Amino acid sequence: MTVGKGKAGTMAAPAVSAAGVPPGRRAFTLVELIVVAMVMSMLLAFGFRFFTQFSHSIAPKVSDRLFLQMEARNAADVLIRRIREGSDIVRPLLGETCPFLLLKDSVNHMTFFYLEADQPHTQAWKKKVYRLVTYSSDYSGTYRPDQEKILLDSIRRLTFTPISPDSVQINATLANAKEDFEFVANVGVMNLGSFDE
Amino acid sequence: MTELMIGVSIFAGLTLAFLLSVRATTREIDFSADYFMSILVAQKVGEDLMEETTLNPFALESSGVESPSGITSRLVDGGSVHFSFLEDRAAPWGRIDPGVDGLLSADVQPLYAQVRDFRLRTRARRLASDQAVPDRNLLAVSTEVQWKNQADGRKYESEFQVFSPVTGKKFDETLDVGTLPLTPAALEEETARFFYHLSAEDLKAKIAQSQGDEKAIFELGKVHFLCKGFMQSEYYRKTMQEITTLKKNLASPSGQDLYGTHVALAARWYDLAKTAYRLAFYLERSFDRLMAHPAGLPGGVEGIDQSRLAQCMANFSIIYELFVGGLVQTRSNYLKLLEPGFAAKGGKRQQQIILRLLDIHRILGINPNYPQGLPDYRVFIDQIRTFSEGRLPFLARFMDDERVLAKDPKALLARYPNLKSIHALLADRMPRVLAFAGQTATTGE
Repeated sequence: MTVGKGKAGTMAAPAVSAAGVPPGRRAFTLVELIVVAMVMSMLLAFGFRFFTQFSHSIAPKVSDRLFLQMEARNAADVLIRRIREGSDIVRPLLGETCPFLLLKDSVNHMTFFYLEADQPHTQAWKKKVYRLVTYSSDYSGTYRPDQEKILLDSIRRLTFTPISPDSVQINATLANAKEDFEFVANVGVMNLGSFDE
Repeated sequence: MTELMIGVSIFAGLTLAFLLSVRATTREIDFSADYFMSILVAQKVGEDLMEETTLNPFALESSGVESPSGITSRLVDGGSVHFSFLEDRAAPWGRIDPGVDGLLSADVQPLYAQVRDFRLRTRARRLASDQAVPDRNLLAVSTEVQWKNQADGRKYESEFQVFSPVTGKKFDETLDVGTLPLTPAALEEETARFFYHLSAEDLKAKIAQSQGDEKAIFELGKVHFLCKGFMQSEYYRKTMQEITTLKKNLASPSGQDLYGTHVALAARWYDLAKTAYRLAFYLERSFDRLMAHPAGLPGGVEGIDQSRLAQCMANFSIIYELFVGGLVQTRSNYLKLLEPGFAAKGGKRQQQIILRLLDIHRILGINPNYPQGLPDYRVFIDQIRTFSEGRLPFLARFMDDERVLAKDPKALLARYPNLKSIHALLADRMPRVLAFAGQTATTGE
C-alpha cells in the first residue's frame, strides 16, 4: 500500500513509484483514512440504529398478517373437514343464517358447532372474539365432556347458511390484535344416496 | 469532503437497498393475502359449480360457463351469482334476496375490501363433443381469479373435472319383459287353437290357401301370450296385491308410517309402469305386420275368433294404460312426500323426490295420450321455483332453465336423449298401434 507521495529530489525522478503509483496521482494518507473510517463508523452506527428500529416496527405487523392468513387457511381446512363428516344439515334451515350448525352423520349422531366467548383474546385485543366448539352427541343422552372440543379460536364472526340440502355456506372472520380476515366457503356434506325404501 | 461524500453515498445505497427489500416484502405479503384469498374464492366457486351440475347437468351450458370464453365477473355488488347468496341478513327471515341481504356489498367488511378488485373467470368444456362418447359426460372446469396486479399476470387458476351426465342412458328396452312361456312350436299350436280353434297344421294350410301372412298371425300369438303371461304373472299379482294393502294402510293411518307407505306405493307403481313400458315397447314391433291387413283380419286370413282377438287387443291397451297410469300414480305418491308435514324428513330427500318428479313430469309431458301432462309439468316447475326462491339458488336456477324447456317440447327432446327415444314410441308409433288395437277390439265386439 502506498502511503507516501512521490517527491522530486536530486536524483532523477522514477517513472513510477516503487509501489506502482503513476506520477501526479496521490494516494490516501493515513489521516484521511482514519477520518473516513470514523465518519463511516458513525454513519453505520446511526444507520444500524435506524434499521433496527424500523425493522422492529414493521416485523410484528408482517408476521401478524402472515399468521392471520395461515390461521384462516387452517380454519377453513378444519371446518371443511369436520363438516364433510356430516350427512344432513339439521339447523339452520334452508336459506337461514345462524351462528351455529347442527349436523347429523350417517349413524344419526348429532354434531353441534357453536361459538363461545374467547375471553383471553377478547381482553388482550380489546375486541370481542369467540372460539368455535363442537359437541358430538351419542345415543346415551348424557353430557360427555370428552365429546366437546375446541375447534378454532380468534373468531370475530362465524355464520352458517345452507343454500342447498347438500351443502352449507360458511362465512368466517378471523381476527388478531390489529386486523380481521374474512373468507367464504361452500362445504358439501356426505352424499348418502337415495331415499328409496 | 470527498470522504464524506463517499460515506454518504454508501449509506444512501444501504438505505435504498433496505427500503427496497421492505417494500418487496410488503408487496409479497399483499400478494400472499390476495393469492390466499383467491384460493379460497376458487375453492368456493368450484364447490358451487359441482353442486350446480349435480342438480342440473346442463347448468353450465345455460349460464354460459360452458363456452370457449366462459364468464368473467366481479365478485362484489352482485357481479357473480356465487357471491349473491351470502347470508340471510334482513327480513323476511329464511329467504335470501340476492339483491339485498345476499349481496356482497360495501357493508360486508372486511370481505368486500379483500375481494373488491378481484375478477373471476369460469370456463368449462366437455371432454367430447360426440353424444355417443362417454367422455361427453365429463366437464373440464377451470376457475381463474385475478386481482389488482393483473398487469403482473398474477392470478390463481384451478382446474377440475365434473361428472355431468348428458348422453343417453344405455338400456335395453326389451330386457326383462318376461320370456314367452312357450316354445316356438307350442306358440304356433296355441295361437291356432286360441284364435282359430284349429291345429297349427290346419291353420298353416288355411293360411297357405288364402295366401295369408303366416308370420303376422304368429306375431299376434306372441302379443296375446306375452300380454296374458304378464297379466297372470306372479310379479303382477304380487305387485297389485301389495298396492292394495298399502292403499288400505293409507286409509287407516293410525300407527302407520305414512311417509314410508307413500314411498313404497310410489316404488311399486313406478316399477310396474317401467315393466309395462318395456313390454309395450317390445310388442309394438309385432304390430307392423298386423297393420298390413284390416283390423279384424290378421294376416289376411278369415275365420279368427273375433272376441278373442278383441280380448288380446284390449289386454295390450291395458298394459299400455298401465304404463301411463302407473306413472300418474307414482307422481301422485311422490307429490304427497313433498307436503309440509313431511318436511322433517330433510331437504336432501325432498330434493331427490323433486328430481324424480321432474323425470316423471317430462315423460307425461311428451305423451300425446296424456294431454294434461305438459300443463301439469309447467305448474310443478312454477311451484318448485316459488319453493326454492331465496333458499335454494341452485334449484331456482334449474327451474328457470326447465321453465324454458317446458314451453318448447322440441327443446326438451333435444336436451334429453332418453326422452327422445320414449317420445318416438309414445308419439310417433304408439298412437297408430293403439288406434289399430282399438279398432280391432271394437270390430271384435
